[in-house]
Amino acid sequence: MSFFRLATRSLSRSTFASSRIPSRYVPRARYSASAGLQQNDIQARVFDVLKGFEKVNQSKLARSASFANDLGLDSLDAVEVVMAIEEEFSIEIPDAEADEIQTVQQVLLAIDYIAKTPEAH
Amino acid sequence: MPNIVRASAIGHLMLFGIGVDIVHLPRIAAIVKRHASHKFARRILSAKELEQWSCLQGADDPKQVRFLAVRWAVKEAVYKALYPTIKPTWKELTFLGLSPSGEKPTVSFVSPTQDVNQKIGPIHVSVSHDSDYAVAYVAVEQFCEDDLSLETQTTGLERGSANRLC
Repeated sequence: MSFFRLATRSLSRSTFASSRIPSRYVPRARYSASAGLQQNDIQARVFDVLKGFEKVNQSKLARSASFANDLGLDSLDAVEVVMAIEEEFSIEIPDAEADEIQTVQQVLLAIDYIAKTPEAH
Repeated sequence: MPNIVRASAIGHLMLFGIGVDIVHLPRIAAIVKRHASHKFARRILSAKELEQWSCLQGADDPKQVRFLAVRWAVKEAVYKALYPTIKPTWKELTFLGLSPSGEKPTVSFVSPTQDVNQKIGPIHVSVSHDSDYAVAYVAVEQFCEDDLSLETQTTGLERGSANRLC
């Protein structure tokens, strides 16, 4: 068990960041590989997954929440969060990306990136 | 601190870093139970470890849980020992337990970066268990090549004392 691994990861994931579209520009209907998955639906499902973790401080649950600092999760929890997210969305997050995920925002970006990049599956 | 670093230099090797990790076995057991198809094992085990893992399929649960817990703890400990100069990923590390002929446990680290592989020396590991807990302790050595080692030490350890020598 360790907070160290989580707390010391690099925060920048430009791969994901560059692929993100601000939600206010999203048209009425999106015919992308995400099959109509809306940002709000995705966020709600991600929050639901996190709520399933007993130790998560639900009052701190937010897009910007950090696993270690806000939600009280350690590195073992983080690995399980990623696995749970993969199961929830039937996706596979590549190891290199999965290792870097330490905030809710990074989870959302990873899902978004995979939804828009079929070859990333 | 500088004295300790200097004293650890033996020949062409010197201490790179140490790391420790402790894991509560029931947490690993719960994760294994919650996620199908050995998802956790596939996430953290290297190809070689996965082979050994497949041989454990018929084994009892505690044995499988211990296998995963030990590898988790060892890899976390190695991560701490190498951080921040190098950040190994799960599958680049392979732990081999005490061999039937009594050889000490070992960890091998194969980085995709050749420079890293050339820099990192032997990785020493020690693992201990007590009922629900497993703990791993790791010490990593580095090959000492003139300026390279000095540079690593000044960037890898606390700044301010650039006079460390091999």
